[in-house]
Amino acid sequence: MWKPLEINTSSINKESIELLFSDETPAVIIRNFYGKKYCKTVVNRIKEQKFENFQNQKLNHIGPFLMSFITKKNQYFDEAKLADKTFNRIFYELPLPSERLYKTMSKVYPQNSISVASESQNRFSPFVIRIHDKGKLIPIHRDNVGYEGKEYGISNIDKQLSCVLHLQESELGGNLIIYRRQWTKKDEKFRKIDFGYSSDLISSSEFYKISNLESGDLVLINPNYYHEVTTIEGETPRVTLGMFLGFYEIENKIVAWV
Amino acid sequence: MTDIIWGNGSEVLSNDSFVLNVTHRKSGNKNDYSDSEKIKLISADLPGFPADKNDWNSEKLTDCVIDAFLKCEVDLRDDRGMLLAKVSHSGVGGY
Repeated sequence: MWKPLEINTSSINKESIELLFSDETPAVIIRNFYGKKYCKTVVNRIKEQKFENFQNQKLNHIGPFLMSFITKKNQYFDEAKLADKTFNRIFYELPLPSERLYKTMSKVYPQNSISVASESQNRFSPFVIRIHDKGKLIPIHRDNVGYEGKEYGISNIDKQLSCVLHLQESELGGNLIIYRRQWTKKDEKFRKIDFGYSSDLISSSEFYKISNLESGDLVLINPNYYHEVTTIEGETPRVTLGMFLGFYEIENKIVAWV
Repeated sequence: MTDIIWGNGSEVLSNDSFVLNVTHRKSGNKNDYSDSEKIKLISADLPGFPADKNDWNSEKLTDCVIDAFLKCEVDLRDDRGMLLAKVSHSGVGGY
């Protein structure tokens, strides 16, 4: 059966990550990657630090993500600088989940350097916080910087890994579904106008639904597989921190961005 | 209001024209559009494709429009039946 691999931070190794690139597992779940107390503090700070829109349900993310700026590179890097200040407030005196992930990956890939991606002295945004309220969902999609991110230097990576830390779960819904089908360019005929793909694309695909995640869990997937998040049905918003890792195999280099 | 059609690029005809397989039409378009339309670019906002017309060529156009999902804001249909349009990427397939 195609099912996730559940491990803890100390037992993660290169083989477990490689399973994501050899079609052997839909996801690697690292339980308790980030302390539940930290998660609670982060979520409270998001609510408290005058992110007024968070409470009236308008704001759905903090920090830019590259795919919103595919032909507006300067604007993306400007937004990334601004977001740094916000992230500094949210994570003040707390461990940065991104740094923790870099440290973990350094142990898994000791030959590789790992850092936030940069281009022409501009630093990419290291992660994005997404807030999904009741009724929201994330449609079927895939993430592939090599295709739509052509304007950016990181589009020439060899492999892309998606890393999502769950900071707060909703009581009901908001489950991650991963389909056993990878994107190819021919699939673009199934595109929806604004975002993602028609469900016709994966109607006969094997899938796995992950519904038992808790705050602090980190989920790694190969984002070229189609995936979606089901409708959030509980009153508590689903809050996640997401980032990508890009692997340069010959250069032994890993870069992070969102 | 400008007419808008969406679809996938299927064949490059020149440095600035291609065939679009139309999949979506804006509700409220003034004109009708067939399932296959010839498009001539009046401007482009496509990842990897130059904004400057002087740098356009069929190789770059092929790389950026074949199979890609595109949005075409139609300016007019010329005497040969070709649509003059502002062409851009339409949303994204993921984050």
